[in-house]
Amino acid sequence: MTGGQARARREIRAIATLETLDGLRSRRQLIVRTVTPIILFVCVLGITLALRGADQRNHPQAYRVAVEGDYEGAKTTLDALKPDRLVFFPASDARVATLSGAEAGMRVPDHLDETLTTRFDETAPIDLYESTVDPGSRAATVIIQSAFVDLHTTRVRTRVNEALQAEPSTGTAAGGTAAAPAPGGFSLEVTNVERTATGTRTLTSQVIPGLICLQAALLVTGTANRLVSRRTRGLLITQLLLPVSRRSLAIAKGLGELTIGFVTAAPVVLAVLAFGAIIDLRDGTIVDVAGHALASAIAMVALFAMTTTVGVVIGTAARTQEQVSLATGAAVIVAALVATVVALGAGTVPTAIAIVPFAGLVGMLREILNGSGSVIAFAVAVMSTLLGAFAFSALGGRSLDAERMVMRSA
Amino acid sequence: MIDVRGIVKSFGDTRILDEVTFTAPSGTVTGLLGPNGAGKTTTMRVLATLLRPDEGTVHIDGVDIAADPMAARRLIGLVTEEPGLHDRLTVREQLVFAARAYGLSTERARARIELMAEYLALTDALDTRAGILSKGNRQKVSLCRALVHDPPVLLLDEPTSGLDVVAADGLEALLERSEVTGGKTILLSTHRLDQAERLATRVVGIAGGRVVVDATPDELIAESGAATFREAFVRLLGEATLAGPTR
Repeated sequence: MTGGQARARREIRAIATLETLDGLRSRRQLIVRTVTPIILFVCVLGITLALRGADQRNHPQAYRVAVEGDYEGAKTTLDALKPDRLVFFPASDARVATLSGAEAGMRVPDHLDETLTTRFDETAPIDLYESTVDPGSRAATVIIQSAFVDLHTTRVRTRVNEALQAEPSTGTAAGGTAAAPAPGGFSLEVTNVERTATGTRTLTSQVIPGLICLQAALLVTGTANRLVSRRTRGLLITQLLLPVSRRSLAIAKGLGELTIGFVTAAPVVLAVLAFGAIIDLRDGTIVDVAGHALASAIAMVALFAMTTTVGVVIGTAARTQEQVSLATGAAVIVAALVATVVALGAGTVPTAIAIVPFAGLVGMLREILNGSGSVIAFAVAVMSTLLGAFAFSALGGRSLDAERMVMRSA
Repeated sequence: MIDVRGIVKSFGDTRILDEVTFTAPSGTVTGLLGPNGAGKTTTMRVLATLLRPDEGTVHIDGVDIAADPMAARRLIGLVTEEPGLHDRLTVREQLVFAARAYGLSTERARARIELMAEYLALTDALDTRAGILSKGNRQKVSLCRALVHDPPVLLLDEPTSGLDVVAADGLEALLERSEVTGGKTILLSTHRLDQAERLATRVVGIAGGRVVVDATPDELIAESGAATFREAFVRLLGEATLAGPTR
């Protein structure tokens, strides 16, 4: 490392420490920045669930039902279950599928068709999975249950009719030679997937990226507002007088804000991570726990870095407090949309989104925590977000121009 | 030494500085005087590398501030009307961070801070949060911060503005102490003639963005035929203002 680089690092460290200390000593600011994302998250979660319900109520459709188990062995039965309302498809894990796109899930035993048509003395256990908070999911499971009952009733009635028709010609049913086999029975048990380990893991995989996303959004607001407040109080001019490059100054201020962001996000993120770890440990390994914690930490660093640099750009480029409020408000809305659509939205997140800074990383973190993500896609998302942060830091360095600051202060 | 040659600065269509030229000799206090809106603060901001001149050059101890602003900043300490302190940090913390940003080692920073705090009577306030200090003490902290890296050039932009008479007098007394400002080239921007007369060995008067006076107080009195420095300065400045707007 050259002397110039060492000096630049020392200067950056000094300014970043100053900014961090100043921020951490404001109890009111810390409380606001810790609590606001939680309130925002509850609102976003509520809106997401309400939208899911509204979508189901407004758009009657054929419900998608994921089927786990011997799909081919159950094909005839499934085809007979209200084909206009239910669309079945095979899935490796019906519970996961119910939580990520399908309205309901089902686990069927081997040779269901054969059991239901020929084995009178057997009962086929069928598990149904629903997401109870989702009205569409509840509707789907009710339709499946009624479809099974209808199917069974039809088969029993057919069998009875066949038996009655055979009786007059032979004298006794028992003496008949070509009687159709009696249909077997079935049992249906409905499970709320959100109450299962899989459901909890899926929920955790949505909550963590959602919360981090909103915490990151608050960094834009915090950083931009603090910069403007410093500008009006003459603090920024004092720092612009230091023999430090504008880029270093932007980085130092960003690092300070980043640290404050970590501190304010820590209680919530750690609590959710711990909750996720308990779930992981129940049906996973310590490697899963460590991997998920690491992925969350990496995503948090990259997301926070990007939103901090966005805050630096807004705080230095905006002329008035009103402009800052407008710009940061827009940023929070965008983040809330990302949280709603990408972190909490139904269905799996397409891998192609990984190249989109911020939103891609939120989506890939969700997939990783859900156990269905690709490490490569996650790495791409981290890189694209860090590149975004780098671009914004360069922009922030340019807009942290002394002349502009002086003019704006004036 | 501060050598200003023909600097011009316009904001939009308004020319704030119109070929301002003067020299502040090494080791002396030069007063930059003028009415409100004369261009004093803009001149100070150009010298502090906060604004780029449209034309002209400025050399600080031989360093061209346009060519090497970073080197120039190391040579400058600036005190402005607004102290620019972090209210939640202690005085010591702010001074330590300033010293580190200027590249001072921990030991040297500590020694300089203790020394300057003693000279500026701030020792008892070192571990106090800046937010609860009086305006006078805040300005002393600002002066201490400007001096912490021992710069050869000190730019004072209305340092006593907003201070009561006693606090302003105290700050002026500090600026007179050789331990504090000895050997430094000081440019004092003020609209208070008594302050300039007390501290400055040479005065540069600006009106309408142009230099209208550049002399020692004694030369000024002799040239104008006035009885006092105040009378001489007001007369010359009034003539310059009556000569017509320059913007």
